[in-house]
Amino acid sequence: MPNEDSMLYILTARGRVRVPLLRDIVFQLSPDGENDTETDGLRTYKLCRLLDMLGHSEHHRGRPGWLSIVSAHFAKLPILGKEKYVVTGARTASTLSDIRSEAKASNIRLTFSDSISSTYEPLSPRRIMLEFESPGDAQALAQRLGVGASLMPASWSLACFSQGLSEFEGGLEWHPRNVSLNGVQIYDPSKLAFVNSDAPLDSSFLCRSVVDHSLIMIVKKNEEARVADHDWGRHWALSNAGIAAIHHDLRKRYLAVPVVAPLPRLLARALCLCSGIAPFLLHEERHRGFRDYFIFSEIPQEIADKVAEKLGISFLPKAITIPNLVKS
Amino acid sequence: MDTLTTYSDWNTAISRRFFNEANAGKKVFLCIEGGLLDQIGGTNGKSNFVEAVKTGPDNLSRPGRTMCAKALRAFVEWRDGGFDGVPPFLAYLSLFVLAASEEGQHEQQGYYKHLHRLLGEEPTNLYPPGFTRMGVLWEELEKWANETQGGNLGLVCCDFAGAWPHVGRPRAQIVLTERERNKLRELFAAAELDPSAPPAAEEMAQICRRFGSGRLEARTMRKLAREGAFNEEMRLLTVEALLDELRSWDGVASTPEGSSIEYHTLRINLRIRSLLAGSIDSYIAVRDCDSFLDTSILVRDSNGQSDYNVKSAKEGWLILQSKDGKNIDGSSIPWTNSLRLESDNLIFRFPARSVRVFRKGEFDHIEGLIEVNRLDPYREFYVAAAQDCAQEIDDWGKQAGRQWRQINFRSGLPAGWRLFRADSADATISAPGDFPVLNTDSLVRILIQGGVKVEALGRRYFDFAPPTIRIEGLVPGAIISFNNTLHSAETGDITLDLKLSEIALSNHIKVLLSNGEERSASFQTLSAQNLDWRRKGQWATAANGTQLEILDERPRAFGATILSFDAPAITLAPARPADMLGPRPGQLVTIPGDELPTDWTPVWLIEHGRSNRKVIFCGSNLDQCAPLNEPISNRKKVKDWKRLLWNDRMRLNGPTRGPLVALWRQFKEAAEHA
Repeated sequence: MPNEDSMLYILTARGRVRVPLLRDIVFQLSPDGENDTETDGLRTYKLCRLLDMLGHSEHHRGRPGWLSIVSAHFAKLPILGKEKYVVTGARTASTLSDIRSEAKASNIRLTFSDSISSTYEPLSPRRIMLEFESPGDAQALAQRLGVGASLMPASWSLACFSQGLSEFEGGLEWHPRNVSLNGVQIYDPSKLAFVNSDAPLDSSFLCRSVVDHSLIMIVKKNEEARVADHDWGRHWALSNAGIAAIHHDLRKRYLAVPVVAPLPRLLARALCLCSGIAPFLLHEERHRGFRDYFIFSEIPQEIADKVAEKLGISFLPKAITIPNLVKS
Repeated sequence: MDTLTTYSDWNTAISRRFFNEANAGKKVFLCIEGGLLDQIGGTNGKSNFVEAVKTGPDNLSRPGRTMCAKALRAFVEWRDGGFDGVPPFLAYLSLFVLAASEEGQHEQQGYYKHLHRLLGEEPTNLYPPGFTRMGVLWEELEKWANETQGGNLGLVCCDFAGAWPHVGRPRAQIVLTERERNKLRELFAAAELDPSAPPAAEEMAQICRRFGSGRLEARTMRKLAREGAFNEEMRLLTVEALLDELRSWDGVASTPEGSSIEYHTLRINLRIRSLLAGSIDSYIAVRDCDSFLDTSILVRDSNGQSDYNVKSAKEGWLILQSKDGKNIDGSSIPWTNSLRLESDNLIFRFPARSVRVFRKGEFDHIEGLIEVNRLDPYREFYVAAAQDCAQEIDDWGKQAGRQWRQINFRSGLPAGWRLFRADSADATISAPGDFPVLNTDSLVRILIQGGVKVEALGRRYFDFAPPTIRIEGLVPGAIISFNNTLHSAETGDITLDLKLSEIALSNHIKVLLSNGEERSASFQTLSAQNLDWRRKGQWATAANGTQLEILDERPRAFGATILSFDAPAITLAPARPADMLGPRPGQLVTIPGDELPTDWTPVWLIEHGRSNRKVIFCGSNLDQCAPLNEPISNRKKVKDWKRLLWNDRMRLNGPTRGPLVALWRQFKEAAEHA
């Protein structure tokens, strides 16, 4: 029977898979009726994002999109005084036993833990966590196994590496404005949604084509630029409007990101690799006007600050209460 | 061109001709004919080839050793030598195919007579000694091409065997020429065939005759029409090959202008809501395909009048929706008219029919009933008929259908259409000739479907996601064995109920029919234990999210790693105020409060407190963390550093296990002498 790691095994064997083909693989791996709420396309897209976020693969969107495996790696977690690592990237059924036997042969003491990494996606790979007594041990074992290991918390490196809002803006190609407001919906940052709007517009705004929702543009006075990465587009609009949509509970180390405004993927990966666990879904009471959030856990202040800096907006301090984990 | 004379020359030349990188991922058929041998080996190529094969490899000639024994010996030596190079028995198999290709010249004669005649022997119907063991060589060829070479030089499929597998295998290679196979896409597109729901075998033969002109060879057309001298066994093999090609067709065909068009067939999906209330929902569905780049495809009908959305549903199907996202009511479309929807190079076709056959969707993983193009007489089926032919269908159904009856619905069917159902049909009672979808199939075939392959082009499946074994047209009295274990099954189209524990590395399925004919198929699996998890990834991401090759020198993210980029040091805040110490005496800051160091990396973090103060290692590489005997110039800081590490050492709770113990001791010693 397929298990949580099956998709990772397939990616490891194939190296790179087109997303349309992945739809069929997801279907083949899912027993009848396992997921009766989502279409094949949506579930596959979410799974691609999840595997990317967990640092197992690179998800390149486009037509077609691709999912490519990355080399196996021990990714250091940002935990003070602990040498904890999660195993990311290529994996097979023998990964864990190979690590164990190599550690034993090298006389390296380490503790393993093995847990689910997502509460809502059965094909999300298990989190394999290794705890060493010193960073040298992690390096030595990784070297002996022929895999990589980070000296610095992977989440921090990723957050520092990702482009920021100014680089995003700098990378846009501006053309004379051609957008007619009749054929577009305007992004309303306060509603985190594209809406039909007749209201007077600011000098700059984000909009999308009514006919083709994948066509998203930023319009500034008499110029416009196509936005390839929709996630960055939304966060540009939020920063532009000065709306802080992300909440941070410093005490519980939770970061809540609205489901409808997902983070750009390198920043999402940075947050996910603070714990090695996929964000879980918090269903708020929609009828009372609340939103659904993805909750990232174990987020240190320093990394939250860096992500906020990249997004060009502060996070709202807020006590986040988790009543229970609800399936997506 | 050099004249080929030796066995080895021919073996190499044939392997190069058929197995090369240009054929990666494509099915390869060993279509050996006289003309081709002349092409490969020059003038008199065919006779030189036959002579060379009769002589065999130099090292295998022994008095009394037969041709088949030499072929087997060649295999054994190749195996013992570690399967080095190309299969040395390829030329022998080619000779067997050549004999099958000669059958057209003396149609009424059996295969063995042709083989004997080729070898210059007395033509008899007896097979040459050892010929029945040649199946092993076909299987080894398949294994070499599909597994050892991973399909990179071409894929071989020798499952397709017909009634007599020994003869069927070489025959199956030659039933269609390479040119014919290349023209089949065009034929299938012109005939509006659906690879996910092929017609019955006899109907397929008729369709191919109708659309085969200029695409199929004259002899194939004659064979399909049963004209002139023909061999029924070869005819059936040809139809099987055509059906096999249809099933693996991706819907792509070239236009006369040279561009590429992809065809997909829209099918009706009926979901009975309530028999009592007479309500039925009708959808238009299409099989998902990995060429659909999006899961929501905006399409326009060929008149340019209406827009639709073909949208991803579940379990491998897409449903036709209106532009505003509502499912199209299938009954609102006239079923007797065709519909053609287009989007760039995709064309979705809804064929016009006045009779439509449905079966339960379980076989196709779809809720309700799904339209099919052939009738499985052993299973429950439904027939929808337009007003003008409903009576004729009803008359046929009353004779042929068991428990045949009309079902009355108030909705779900276009006006005037009637829906009938039956538990099964009597296949001996022919359906009215105008309605080929009511044809049943006399052929039994094994289909290996679904599952997840280890390599996209190969034939091995993951052991946790093996394929589904389906048998179409299973007749009463057939014996099914899977890996030599007998399985019982109902008749008709069935899915073999296999437990994962029954699946081995190499799996063989056989169906023995009551008339002595046999069908077989095989597949291999691989355990996820046997993959290499240290394989290297190839693709990374630039800081702006774009795709980069891993060998690109630019800074890039690669999963959890960042290449060609140095992030600044991070100092994670402790839960309570703490002192941070570096390797040189005097490197000391207190947080929160002091600025974090930028010119040195802290090694230890010592939390504040009266006693039992927690010491936390916060360095990175242990090799670069050893204490240094070079104090900084600030004497007060040096004094504080020493006091903390040496004078207050009894109040500190340092590491007690592992290599950090030694490092901690070194720091204390350094502090003592600082």
